[in-house]
Parts: sequence; C-alpha cells; structure tokens
Amino acid sequence: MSNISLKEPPQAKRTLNLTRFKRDLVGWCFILAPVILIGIFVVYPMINSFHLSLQSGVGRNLNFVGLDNYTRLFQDRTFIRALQNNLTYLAIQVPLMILLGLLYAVLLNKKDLKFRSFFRMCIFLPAITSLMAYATVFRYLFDQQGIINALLLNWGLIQDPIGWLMNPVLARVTIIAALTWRWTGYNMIFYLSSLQNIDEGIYEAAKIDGANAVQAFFKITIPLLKPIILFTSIMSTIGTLQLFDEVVQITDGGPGQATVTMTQYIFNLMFWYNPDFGYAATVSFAVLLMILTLSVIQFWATRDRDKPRRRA
Amino acid sequence: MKKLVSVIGASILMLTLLFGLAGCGSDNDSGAEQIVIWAWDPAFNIAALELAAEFFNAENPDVEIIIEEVAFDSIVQQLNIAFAAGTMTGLPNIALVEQYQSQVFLQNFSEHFYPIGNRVNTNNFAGYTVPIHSHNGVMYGVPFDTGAIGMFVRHDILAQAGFSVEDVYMIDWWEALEISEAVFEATGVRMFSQNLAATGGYARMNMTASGTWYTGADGQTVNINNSPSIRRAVEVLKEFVDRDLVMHHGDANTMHANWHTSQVWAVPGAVWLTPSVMLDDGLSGQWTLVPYPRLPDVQGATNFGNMGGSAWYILDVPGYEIAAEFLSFTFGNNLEFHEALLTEIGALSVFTPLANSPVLSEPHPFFGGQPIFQQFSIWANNIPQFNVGLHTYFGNSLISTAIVEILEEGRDIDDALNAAQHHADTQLN
Amino acid sequence: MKKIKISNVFIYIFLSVASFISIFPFYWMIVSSTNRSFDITMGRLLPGNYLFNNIQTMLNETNFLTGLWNSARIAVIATVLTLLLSSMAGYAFEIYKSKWKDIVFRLLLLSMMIPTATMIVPLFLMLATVSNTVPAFGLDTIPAIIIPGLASVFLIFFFRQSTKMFATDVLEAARIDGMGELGMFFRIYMPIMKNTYAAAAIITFMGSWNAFLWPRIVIRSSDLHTLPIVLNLVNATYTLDFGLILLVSTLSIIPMGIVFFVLQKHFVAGMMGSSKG
Repeated sequence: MSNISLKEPPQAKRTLNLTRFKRDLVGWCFILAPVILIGIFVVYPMINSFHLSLQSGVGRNLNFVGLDNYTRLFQDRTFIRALQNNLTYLAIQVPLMILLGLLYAVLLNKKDLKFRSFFRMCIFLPAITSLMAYATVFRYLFDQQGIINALLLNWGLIQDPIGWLMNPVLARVTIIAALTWRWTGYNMIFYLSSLQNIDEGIYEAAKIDGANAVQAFFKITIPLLKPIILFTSIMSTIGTLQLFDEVVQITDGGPGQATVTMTQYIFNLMFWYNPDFGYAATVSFAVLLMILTLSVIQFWATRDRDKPRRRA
Repeated sequence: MKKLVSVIGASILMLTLLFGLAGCGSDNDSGAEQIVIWAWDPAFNIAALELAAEFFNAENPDVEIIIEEVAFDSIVQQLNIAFAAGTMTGLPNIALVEQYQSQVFLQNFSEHFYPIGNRVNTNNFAGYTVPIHSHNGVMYGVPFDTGAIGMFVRHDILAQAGFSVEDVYMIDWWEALEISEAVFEATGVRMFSQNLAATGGYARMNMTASGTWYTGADGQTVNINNSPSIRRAVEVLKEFVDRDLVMHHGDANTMHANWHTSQVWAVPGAVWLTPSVMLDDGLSGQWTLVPYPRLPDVQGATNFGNMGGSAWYILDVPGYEIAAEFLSFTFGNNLEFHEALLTEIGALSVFTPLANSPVLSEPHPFFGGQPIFQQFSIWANNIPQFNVGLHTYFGNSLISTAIVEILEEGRDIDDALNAAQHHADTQLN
Repeated sequence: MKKIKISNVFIYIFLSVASFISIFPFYWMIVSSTNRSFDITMGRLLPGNYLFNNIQTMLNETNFLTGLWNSARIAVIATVLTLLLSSMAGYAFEIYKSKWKDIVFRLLLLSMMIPTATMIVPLFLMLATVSNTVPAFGLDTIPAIIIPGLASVFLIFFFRQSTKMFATDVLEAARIDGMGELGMFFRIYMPIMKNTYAAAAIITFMGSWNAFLWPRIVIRSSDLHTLPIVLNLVNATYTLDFGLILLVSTLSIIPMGIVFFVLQKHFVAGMMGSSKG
C-alpha cells in the first residue's frame, strides 16, 4: 500500500473509500462477462441436464418419467461397458502418462545432458497435433495391414498380423497408447517449468546427506511438485472421462462396443439410434457425478496433512 | 470514463463486424437454381446421380445439380440433429436414406419430408419397398436399389480345386463349409471376406433369407435369443472363423483388396457390390453369380435375401419443387433412365417396368455373358416378406457385440445371445 | 573430468527411443502424403512422387480449403475474444481482490469440473431454441460455435496465477498519475504480461483449432466445415485414399505448428511464470 494513507485527513478518507468502492466495482465489471457466460453455458446446462434426465421421448417430444431413466441406466450394458472403458483408460493411462512426463521432465532438467532442447521438442511435438489427425494416423498405423504389423512381421517378432483393432483388449491398448503418445509431452512441459523453479540447493543438501537420485526424486521432487501434479492429474481425469474424438476416429467404439466411451454413447443416443434426449441427459448427468466424485477424491487424497495451506 | 465508453463501443463494433461477416459466410449465392444431394458410394449411388443429372440437364440445362459424398451414417446423424433442433439450415434438398432408418424418420418427423407419392406412380416399385418408404398411406421416398443378395464366385479358383459352378449353386452353409475346406487345402484361398467387428450386414442377409428380422411382426419387439435364424447364422460364422476360412477386413479398401488379390473365392453380398467387384478388370470373366447360401436346418430358409436398399428423400428445404421434378423425371418414372442405370453403371433398381425390358436379360460381358441382373431381379421377387421395424441400427450393434464376444472372448453362443436379448429388453421399453 | 557416466548413456538411449516414438508417426504421415494410397497399404516408408496428385485430389474432392479458412477464422476470433475476457477476469480477481470475488472464483473453479458431455444435451436444445428465434446465432452459424466456449475458467485461473507475480506498484503509480482502470489494464498490464498472453494464446488457439464434437453438432452446410470435420469425412468415404487422408492430416497440423514455433519462447516463459506460487 502507498504511504499516503498514513497521513490522511478525514475528508480524504471518505474519498478513498469511495475510490476503493469504485475500483471494486470496476473489478466486478471486468469479471462480469465471463461469469455470465459461464452461468449460461455451464451452470444452466448442468441444472437443465438433471431436469432432462427425468424425461424421455423422441426428438423434442419429451415426457416426464421420473427416475425410470436411472433404472434403465443401471441395466444398460452399453453404458456399463462405456463406464468400464473410461475408468480403464483413466486408471492406466493417466498414471502412466504422469509418471512418464515426470521422468522426462526430470531427465531433461539435468544440466549435464546434451541435446536437451532437441529431445524436449521431439517429445512435445505430439501435443500440437489435432485430435482427428493423430487419431487417423494411429488408426492406420495399427490397422491389421498397417505399418506396425508390417514392421513386426519384418523383424520376425510375430508370425501373423495382429488384429489390433479387432480384438477388444488390444483395441483398448491401442487407444491407451495413442493417448499416452499425444499427451505425455504436454504434461511434461508443466512439470519441467515447475522443476526449473526448484532451488538446486535442496538437491545439493540432499546429496550431502547421502540421498541417491531415486530417493531425491521421491522425497523431494514429487512433494514439491504436488500442486502441479494434482493439477495435471485432475485435468487428465476430466479429459479421459470425456474421451470422444480419438475413440470415434480410431475404433468408432468397436469392435462391437468394446472401446465405446460415455461421451460417444451420449452422442449416439442423441443422434444415432432413436434419439432420446432425456436418456442421453441421464447418462451425461451420471458422467458429471463421476467426475465430481473422482476430483473430490483426488483432492482429499493429496491434501496437506501437516500444515494449513498458505494463502498465496 | 470516456475511455471506457469508447473501448466498449469499439468492442461492440468489432464484434458485430466479425459476427456479421461470419454469419454471411454461410449463405449460398445462388443465381441459378440448385439441387444439393447427399449420397455415399461413388461407384454406385453417386454414379447413378451423375447419370440422372445428365438426363435432367438435357431438358433443364440451367439447374445446377450438386452431389456431395457423405457417409450414410453421417447422413442419418445430420438429419437427426436437424430434426431434433427443428431447423433445416444446411440440409441438402435430397438425401439418400437407407431403408432401415426410413420408418424411424417417417414415424417421427414426416413433416420434414416432401410427399413424392403424388408425383410418382407407386406401382413403379417392387411391392415390398412401398410400405417401407410410406407413412399413413403416402409415399415419401423414391425407392432406388434392390439390395437383392447373391454370391459372386471365382470359378477359376474353384476349378483348381476340382469344383464346378454347379457345386456351389443353391447350397446351404454347411455345404459351403465343406467346399471351402477343400478349396483351402488345394489352393490356400479362403472363402470370403467379412468385417468381423461389424457383422450386422452378415446377420441381415441371413435373417431376410429366412423371412425374419431383429424385430417381430410388430416391428417393435426385438428378438435375438429366440430366433433360429440368428443362432444358426452365428454358429455358421463361428465355424468358418474357427477353421480359418474367413478373411477379416476393417474397411472397404481392404475388402476390395482381398477380392482382387485372389485371397478369397467368394463375395456373398448384395447386387450393389457389382461395380465394386468389377473394379479389377484383370479378373473379368472369372466371376460367376450364384444364389446366396441358405441357413441349414432352419424352417423357412431360402437362398434369397436382401441387404440394404435405399430411397431418395426430399427434405422441406427451399427448392423442393425442383427437386421433386428432378426425382420424378429420372428415378421416379423414367424407364429409359433405369435401363441406362443398368447398362452403364450396373445399378439394378426396384423399378418394376424394368422387368419387361430387354436390357435386363442382356448378357453381362464381365461375368462371362451371364445375365446377372435378370437373375438378381428374379431372386428379388423370391425374397420372403419382412418388416424392417424401428431398431435396425440398435440390432446391428447387438449382433456385432455378441459376435465379437463369441469370437474374440470365447463367450458361449447362447450366453452372448441371451445377454444381447436382455440388453434389448431393458433398453427398449 | 569429462567422464561419460554409464547412467547417462542409458538416459540418452531412453530419451532417443522416446523421441523416435514421438516423431515416427509424424514422419510416416508426412512421407505418406507423397505416396500413392496403394503403396502406403503395402508399407512404404520412403517419400514418393505422388504429392502433386494427392494435392490435386484434395483440392478437387475435399473441402480442405474451406475447412482451412473456417478453422482459421474461427480460431482467431475465438482466441482474441477468449484472451480478452479471461485476462480481464483473471487480472480483476487478483488486482481487485475481495472476499466476494474469491468466493465467486472458487465457484468458477468448481464449474471447471463439469464435463462437456453433461452440457451437450442441454446446450444443443438451447441451440435449437435459439435457432428458431434468432437464426443468426443458431445452428450452422459461427457465433454458435464460438460463444459457448468463450469463458474459459482454466484461462482465468491461469491469468490469475500469473498475475500474482505482477508488480502492483506500477499500477499504483499510474493511478496516481490519473490513468483510468481500463487504461491501466490495456497500457500497462497487457504489455508486461506478453508471455502469459502468448502461452494462453497457444492453448486457446489449439483448443479451437482442434475442436470436433461441438462444431460437428452445430455445423451442417459444407461451407462451414472446419478442418477436423473435413478430416473425419475424408476418412468416412467409401473407398479410402490414404495418401489423401494423410496429406490432409499433415496440412491440418502445420498451422498449429507454425503458431507454436513462433511463440515458443514466450510459451515456455509464460508457463513458468504461472507455475510460481
């Protein structure tokens, strides 16, 4: 604060309060537009989707059906499969990606490593591809007649071409591989930036105390990076639970329904089968509850237990 | 304060400008009249449209006919989106719609379609097609292709293994299995190519050949686990896959490649595959057409079924008058056009006057002089009646899922079919 | 001592493999754009001389140029507007900090959790209603594509974080000199926060450029197709021309690549600036 406030006469103080009030108002004005937009396009739809989930019907002729949609939801094999898929992708892909991202970041932070910016660029490159483009590439790379099989056959690692996209398990593996390829570099940059803010001195001190690299990684690096790890973890969770583009492009939910995701199912319910917006809303509301739950769990599991969070 | 106002003003101005320009971007500057048509398959449907455009433009040169290739599921999705939203912006004048979706559209959104029935003689089209494309007695779609099925076989490969065409004529699937094993042993060639991840088409061919469908007579109740034809069809496929007599393809490219590189000796499918089979001139004269194999030991099974078949629908988008004229002038009433369709593109339609046309019995040079279209046409008349109902796409996904479970996860057939039935029961109330 | 550590050798190998895996799909994609579809299915890995043919096919049979133009202008408009709104909000939340604003901020953060999937159905129905009342903002228009995404809580958060490091005394000085609040924002804050804006610009541009689901729902006419939609359609044709598909894929990535490499240094600096605190 400025020094002027120490010597104000009472009149000036009233003016100062008015000024502060006016400034506060300006602040609100700055915030107004985004808040309104979010109210209209995020909050309202969320409330509306719950209301919709209690209805059913074709097109715009919706009738109130109470909790019928929810009963239907619990018996919906495709929904359960989609849910399983999303959770599978989540449980495997996100930790894998975070660990890899951290590993890359730590390695690329080593001052004694050459070609660091080259490696960094290579690993980050996938992050700039559009989802459709890279999904297309992966679809044909892993096609039964694709390059991956051709190379594996050539090197004598396999006898027959593998039906990556034909087999339910392998199809999911392909999707996880694609996601990891695409997003690891992106997360790596977050970790790298945070790492570069950590004081070297801490590591020096640890080395003097006899800690090796692995110990330093787990006892120093990870705790210090906790906020950013949590942040990327939550972002990735949200992203994986909303998976759509890649699945549509690489496997179209197939084979059968083996790789279908919840968002894809919602889309199909809306525009593919007999359109039932009420039920689609039910599924989407279930997705919301799931994300909220998972985020809360993640926050709770990583909360600071020893000291209260400092207000930044 | 003044600055605030001016900044706000400038922003509003900029926004309006941008949005105004943006909004203008999607308008069509149409001087001449235009008909926009959506269809898939360049070798068949789109080729037919181009021919129709030629016919029509000969009489009406200043109508611009714009044909856009759009995948059939995209068409369904886009129409669904538009109908649900209640706005027709961006929709074409004419869309090709698979017969499986017709009733869903007509029963729910008939107000968005133009009743072409008053411009076109309904007797012009095979009996089984008219109810599929009508609603409340009025016809909305112009039925186009038949979708009658058969099986193209490579008689040269069969000969290598010591078989003749008669050996595969009017057989059932178990006989086909025996022959396939022998052929594979002798030549290393498998029988046919199938997308094992999406087997809806295979199911539909076999179901129609036995006069059944996913849904019962009412068109509503789905019956998967109590259907002898579905069960037999699944058993057959499993046998073929277990004995490695089927090639898998993930897309049409691979499917064509499998045919044209002689990795399979049969193409069981619908008549609209003819142009695709003909894509490789090198194999001219090596293919012969025989009827589709029937399901063994199933009551009512025949060798004559149907897969696909679509109709042209006019949407209530400005320009429907000229679109209606276009359709009635060509697909709707014009025998000469349908004859040209047959001779120039190999597209067999359900146009009944065609039955008496000499063109139909013309020997087809690619197939060694066999009058394949006449055969398809006769077989089309032998297809047992079936009710397409409302849940075809859902049924397709049920079967695909069940078959993947059976083939890839080793699930028991009855188990998988029961699960599919249960799913249908809980979802379609 | 310039001893080559064994562990470093392993690290080099590891990173090289990682880099190879990251780059290989790009290589295949770019090389395949110059090859014939048939050769690609045969597994060709070397450049060919089919590039010109593929380009011709692309210009004749796809909506690529339209898609490029639409994606570009939508991305630019969306980025400019989103940056403006988000930076002002992030700035305000930090500089004009107050108890109530913090509460609103936390509520906004909560809203970030709400997935697009949940919003699609009601958003679509809202869109339908708007289409019937104000067609200029309804289905098949650019405003309908852009407006729902304009308020990005993520970016607001990002800007607020970055603003924590901002030296407020500069603002105080300006205020004393009589500069208005808006002037302070535009004339002082924005120039100093260049890096943050660059990072945010890349993120927003990337998001808009790659958006598929919502544009897919909104857009119908081929004049308005965006690149992801064009790519999706090119993949759905009856017979697939891989050279064409991969050419379109490659070209759709290039603009994003250019934007990124131009703003690269600012991006990294901007990300680092937000990671403090």
